[in-house]
Amino acid sequence: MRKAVKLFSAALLTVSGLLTAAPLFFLFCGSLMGSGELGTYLGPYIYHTDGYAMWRLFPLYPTLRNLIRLVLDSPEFFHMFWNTMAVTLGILAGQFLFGLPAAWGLARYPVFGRRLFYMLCILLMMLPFQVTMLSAYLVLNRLGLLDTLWAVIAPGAFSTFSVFLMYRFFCGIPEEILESARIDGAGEFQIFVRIGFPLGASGILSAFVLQFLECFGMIEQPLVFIKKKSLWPLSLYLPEIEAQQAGFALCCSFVALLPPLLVFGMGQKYLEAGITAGAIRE
Amino acid sequence: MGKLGKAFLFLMLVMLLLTGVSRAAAAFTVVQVQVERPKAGKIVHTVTGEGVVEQMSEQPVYAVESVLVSEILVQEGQTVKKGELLARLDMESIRGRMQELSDDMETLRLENEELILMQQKEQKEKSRAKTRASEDYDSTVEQGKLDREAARRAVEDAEQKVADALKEAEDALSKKEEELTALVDEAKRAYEEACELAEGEILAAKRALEDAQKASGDDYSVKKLQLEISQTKSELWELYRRRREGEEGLDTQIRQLEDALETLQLALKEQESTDKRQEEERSRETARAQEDYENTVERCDRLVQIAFEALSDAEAALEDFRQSGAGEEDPAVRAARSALEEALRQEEELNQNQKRQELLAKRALEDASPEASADVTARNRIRMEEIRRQISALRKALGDNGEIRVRMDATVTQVAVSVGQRTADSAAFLVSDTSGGQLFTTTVTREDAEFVAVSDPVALVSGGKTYEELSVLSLSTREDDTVEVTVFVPEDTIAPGAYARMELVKQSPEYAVTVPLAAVHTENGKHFVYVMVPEESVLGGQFAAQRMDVTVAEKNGQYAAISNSSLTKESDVIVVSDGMISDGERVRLQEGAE
Repeated sequence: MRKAVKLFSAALLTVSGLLTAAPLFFLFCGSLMGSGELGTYLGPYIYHTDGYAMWRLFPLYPTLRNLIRLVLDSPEFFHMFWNTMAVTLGILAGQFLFGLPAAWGLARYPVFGRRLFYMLCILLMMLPFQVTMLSAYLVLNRLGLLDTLWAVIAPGAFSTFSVFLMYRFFCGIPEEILESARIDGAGEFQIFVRIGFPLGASGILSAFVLQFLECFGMIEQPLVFIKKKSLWPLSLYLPEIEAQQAGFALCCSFVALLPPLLVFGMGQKYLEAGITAGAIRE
Repeated sequence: MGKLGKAFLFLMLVMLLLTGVSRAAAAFTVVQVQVERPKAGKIVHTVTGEGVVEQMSEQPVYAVESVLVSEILVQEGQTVKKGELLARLDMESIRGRMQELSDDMETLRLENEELILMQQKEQKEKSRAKTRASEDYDSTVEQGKLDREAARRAVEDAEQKVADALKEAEDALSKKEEELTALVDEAKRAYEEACELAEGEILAAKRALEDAQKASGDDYSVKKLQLEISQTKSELWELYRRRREGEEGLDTQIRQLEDALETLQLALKEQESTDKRQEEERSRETARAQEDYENTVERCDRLVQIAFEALSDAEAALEDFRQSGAGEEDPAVRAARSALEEALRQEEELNQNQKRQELLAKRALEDASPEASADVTARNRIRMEEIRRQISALRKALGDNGEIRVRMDATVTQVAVSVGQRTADSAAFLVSDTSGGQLFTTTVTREDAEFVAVSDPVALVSGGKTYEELSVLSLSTREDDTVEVTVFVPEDTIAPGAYARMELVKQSPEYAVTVPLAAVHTENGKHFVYVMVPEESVLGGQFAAQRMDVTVAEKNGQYAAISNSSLTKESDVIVVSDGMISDGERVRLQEGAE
């Protein structure tokens, strides 16, 4: 009986897993299909013909034409890829510089108004972008940062989401360890670097992985704050591709998927810890 | 760093490498162009054509007709001096020809003399016939005049008679119409009177009937009595009730009321019987009034009907009279008209007869006149004159020993005789005069010809020399759709027969925008140019080709003048490209080009 249950569970999980991974598989297969084959399957969507779109598991006539076009005839894709990387890494660097010390300070130093400040961080984290868009636009305009990459990097660098995550981890470090360090003559900066940083590493990494995934797919912020096409990130390039070039669009999407996939793989275990930490009630 | 970290780094390196590759590939595929900015200027049209300078006119050299040629001393194209010998005729042949012509001349002379004698005789006979015919013609014309006058008078009399008859008939008709009209008016009056009388009587009868009908139903006495009886009964019942309730002293009142009630009931009965009698009388009266009314209406209708019939009869008589008067004609008038028609017919016949007789007399007169046209004698005389000229020419040729010489400096352009053959009546030689100038002739295309006009200045290049200040003499379209241009070449400039090249330069008015012709493209009959415009793209500032429709006002082989376009002097017009370009396509300046 137990064996049967186990078998059923395994089958259920396998089916669920396959269904979840199906879009990724279709993306890969679609990137290997020619425009004629895709036109046949996606005719109702692309050419508004009768019937419904359909899909094949594997390409009938696999081709690398889309990939070759991407490599040889689409410098825009790579330009935007590096824009995306610049924005993402810029935001992560900003959070390292400002978010990390802020989270440590909030977690470890009983300063006046600490609670209020923390609540303020949570409030800001919960506000959707649409709410802060106008005020952010006005501030960036006054600072002369509109139509530059800083218009996206600066607000992201001061995101409170990572502060919230890292705060949780820093709170989990026992006070005794820090007291011991102080007795042993360690300064506050040393304590932060030598004790706080290693012990809160999983929290820091999980925050950074989450931030990477969010920043890599950012759409609204560049769309609102950047008019110059040369500064657009990759997330704005894919919608620009016409429906008639579905194969090329799928190929671009697949390549664009690789960096987040790898980063996710690298930080998966930290990410799980981070999500768990974020779920604990204060 | 785990495997995934290394993979991430590897991915970044690959992306970096591919970035470079895609950039290089894109740079390789982008069309390179050369641009030029429009400028103001004139469109210069140069029309060229090649041809040969030829003599302007040719003159014939004649030889006497039908004589054998014994020797020809020149060839076509040969230049000859004035008086130079061209050919020599056979002397025997000239003499033989002279003899033939003399014989012909004698024959014609004899024939003419005979004809003249015959003509004189005929002339006399015709003269007599003419005199007689002339007299006949005059008498015929005179008689005709008298007859026509008589016929005219007869026609006038007949017309007068017709007019008189018409007047009398009209008078009689108008009198009768007046009588009938008076009768109609009288009948109309009688009818109107009858109508009025009938209306009065009918109205009186109707009123009598209405009075009789109105008299019934005006009496309210019965109702009044019934009301009083009812009131008295109510009062009586009230007294009964009070008495039953025990009230005393009411008997007297009750009795009085009972008496009064009885009196009222008797009065009611009496009134009802009276009303009944009166009603019967009224009914009888109404019936009589109705009967009187109907009788009156019937009688009046009859009277009106009689009057109306009388009126209708009178109107019909008048109408009949008018119609018969318009349709029929009086016998007297008819007779007068017949007489007039007869007179006219006789006059017409007389005229026709007269014309016929006059025509006959005229023809007789013409027949009697002598013939005015050229006759055989005249023809013979002309022929004799011609023979006389030929003999004179032959005599001159004999005097020249049969030699044919040119009378000016010239070039022989055609030799139309040959040795051993007889000369014809056309020119024996054609020579061109070298003293009056030459003509240069060339052909140009119809498109080029649009820029050429008569009197336009042109230059001719021949033998390494340029002759300017020449002008176009004429233009003519040929069958092969080309245009022949003729230029006058003065003497002592270019020798006849020399090859030359014409150059005609014409400038257009100043245009604000001109572009190289290579920049102008055509599609479906519309002209357009590509302009290189800066464009903000994903890769930064780049250039793109933008299509701009233009109207070509004028063009030559190199430049086109543009009108009606938004081209400015700052526009970078794409002149040369190393590949096909389309609207919106990315382009870049060719290396080394500015």
